[in-house]
Formats: sequence, structure tokens, C-alpha cells
Amino acid sequence: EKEELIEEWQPEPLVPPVPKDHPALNYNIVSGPPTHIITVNGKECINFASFNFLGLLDNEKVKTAAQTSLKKYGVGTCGPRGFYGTFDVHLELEERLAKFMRTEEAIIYSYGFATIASAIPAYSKRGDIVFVDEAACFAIQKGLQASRSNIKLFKHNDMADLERLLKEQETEDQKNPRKARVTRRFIVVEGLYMNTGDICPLPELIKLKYKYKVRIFLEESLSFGVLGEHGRGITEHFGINIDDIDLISANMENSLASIGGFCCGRSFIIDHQRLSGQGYCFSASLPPLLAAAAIEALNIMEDNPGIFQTLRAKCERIHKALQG
Amino acid sequence: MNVGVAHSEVNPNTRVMNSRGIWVAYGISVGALHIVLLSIPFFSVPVVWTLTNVIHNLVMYVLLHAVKGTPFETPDQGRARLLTHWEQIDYGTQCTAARKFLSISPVVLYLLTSFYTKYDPAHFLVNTSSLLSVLLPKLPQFHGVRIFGINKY
Repeated sequence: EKEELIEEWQPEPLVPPVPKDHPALNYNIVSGPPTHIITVNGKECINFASFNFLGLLDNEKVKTAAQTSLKKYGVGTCGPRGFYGTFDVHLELEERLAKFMRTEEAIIYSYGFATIASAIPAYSKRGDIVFVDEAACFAIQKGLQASRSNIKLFKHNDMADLERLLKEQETEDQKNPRKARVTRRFIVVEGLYMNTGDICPLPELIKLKYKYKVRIFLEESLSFGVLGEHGRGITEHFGINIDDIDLISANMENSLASIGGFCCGRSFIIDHQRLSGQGYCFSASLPPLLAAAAIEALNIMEDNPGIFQTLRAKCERIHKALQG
Repeated sequence: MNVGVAHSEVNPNTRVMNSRGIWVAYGISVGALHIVLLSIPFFSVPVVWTLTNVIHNLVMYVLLHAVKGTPFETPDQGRARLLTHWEQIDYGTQCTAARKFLSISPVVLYLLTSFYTKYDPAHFLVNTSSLLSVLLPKLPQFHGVRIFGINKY
């Protein structure tokens, strides 16, 4: 009888029967490189689906620089920065970024997501307090989760809410000054939010920073190369002294058309990440061809500051057109 | 520190008291302290023994029960930042070999001291209070306890 049951048993299909016109079966095929114009299913379309804001992804000079570097160094670096993985292009890119952003030092990560996700836990540990915007991007959320600190969320771009939280923290600090002396406090904001597209009110944040003695970590992934007269990001956009921000972290995967990320700031802040940035010490370094491409993209950004005006004009045109 | 060292120990402080030769080194250093004190001509033998006992307990208290955290960065995001070295030993497991050794050594020193001071009452008071100050924090009931909030943060 058992044998009968076994013979009768029909296994359920791994894949349930699907109709022939299921969207997953008929995918759109992209041919050619993804730049401003992208060829989907043979049709040329305008690419609104990438973060290639300055169009440097398909730039001839950037591509030549990357190919020269590929012929010179090969593809990968085969090592972390601390173990034979530091190339001259890495050091040059770090110097160029520091000079471009007008800070003392910069540090390169090999993966954009890992930049802010390693920078936050390098400074903020258990028992420290981080005030984050609710609409922080996923990388920031993972960095905060890895840091094991106490997270206090404030409503998106709501400075009154943040001030309320800071005041509550201040009253608690006064109740326990010895504990307050050993806890570090940080505010993590993005220049241009990936989730909502808003710009953070940085001048008010600086005022709050000096009033309540918190450090500001600014994530400029989308605003680097977009905001500001020369593309230096939201600090240039608002005309704020770059020394007021303690750490600027950005993705090179958007405007800079490379891969990886960088953090820039004062020397003693950035130097700390060379030993405690987990994504820096324990990952292979950035492939030199991408570093060379980033350097070339920086050259283009420095030589033609007019592209930022063009970008802004086009954005405003589209925004007006979409509003109807 | 943790970048160049290739072991998987998250907090090396937990293993320091189990390392090779440290118990012998501990005994030798207490002996050396005693000999140095003995060579000072002003102190009589009971005073020297009391001084050895008191200084040993004082140093043990400061190093094991007063100083908190680690002198290096640990990859556990600061879990042991507010813990004294005693609380960090073996990640908080009670009654391990190192803990037993460190609990018994002040008792042994106390017994020797009380013998050599001929059970004099003044010396007895000083030595006993010193012993209590170093034995009480080692009790498992006192793990993580901060009396009156002293040394809490």
C-alpha cells in the first residue's frame, strides 16, 4: 500500500505554470552602452534611469584614460590598501579629491555603498548617539546598524524636530554629566536625499551643531558634482565653510562616473579611517583603471565649470515641464 | 593593533591573564617588590610585609577594577568600553582558572603578611581592609556593579 501511495505521488512543479506573456519572460534588451541615450529593444530612448548626471560615463577622455590605465596596470589590484594594494593612482586621486573639495585629506573606498557604511561605525560605537534623518538611504541605515549606537530619528528635513531631540538629549546630559562626557553625538544627513530628492537645510544644521555640540556627517553622494558653482556639493551651494562639516562622504558612482567612494575632511579625522574603516582595511582597493577614470572626470569637472550650470538649467526645464 | 595581528580574538584583553608565563611573572614581580622594600633600611620586617600587601592590593585594584576599556580598538564596536579588566577576563565567565588564581594570590599574600606581622592589631586592620577592598570586587555578585555610580562611565 505504501508503494501505491509513493507511485501516486506527483511532486508539485518547481515553477508554477505561467502564461506566455508574463513580463519576466519578455524582458527589454539594452544594446549599446548606457549613457544619456539608451537603446532599448532597438529604440533609442533618453536615459532617466541612471545617476550619470554629468554624462561622464561615455566621455571619450574618461574612456581613454581608463583604457591607458588598464594597459598599464591590468584590471584588479589584488590586495587591500595595507598589503600591496596601494597604487600611485590611488594616492593621486586622494590628493586631487582633497584639493578639489578644499579639505585636508581624502580617503578612497572601493565600493560606494561601503563608504558611508564603514565611515559611521569607525567613529560611532556602542553608547554613542546618532541623530539621523528618517529618509536616510539604505547605506546609512546599514552603517548605523553596524555601529551599534543609539539611533534617534528625526522627521525628514524638520529642524524643529531635530532641535526637540537635541534639547531632550541635553536635559538628559545634565542629569548625568559623567555619562555625557563619554558619549559622542553625531548628526548624519545627506546633501541630496536619494529617497526624496530634497536638499537638507545645512545652515540651520550648522547652527544646531555649534549650539548643542554635535558632529555632522554629511553624505554627498548625489550632491557631489551637482550642487554648487564648481560642483563641490552642498557646502558650496550654501556658501558654508567646509571646515564646519566634520566628515563628507560621497559616492563616486554618480556624477564622477567611476566606482567607489571617498570621504574627505580634516587630516586627523580621515586618518582614523585608515585603520578603523572596515571597508578600507579589509577590502581590495579600487581598481586603478577606475581611479584613473575618476581623476580624468575630476579634470573635466575642473576645466569646464559650465557643465553644472547646464545641468541645473536642464533640471529646471524638466521640472517645470513635468509640473504641467 | 587588530589590523596587523592575525588571530581571531575579538578582545585580546580577555586572554591576557591566561597567557604563557604570566602567572610566574606575576609571582616574580611580587617577590621583586618585596625584596626592593626589604632593602630599604628604615622599614622593619612587619612594616615591609604590610607595605608589600598594601601596595600589591592597591596596584591590583587600580589595574583590575578601576581602569576600564581597552588600550586598543576592538572590532566589537566598544562592547567592553565600560568594563573593567576583571570583568573582561574570559568575556565575563566566572570562576575560570585566571580568576581563581587572581582571587587566591591576595589571600596567600595576606596569610604570609599576618604571620610576619605577628598578628599585630594595627597591621591587622590595615591588611584586612586592603584585602577586602581587593576581594569584594572579584565576587561574581559584583560583576558590573558600580557602587554609588563611581567609575560607571
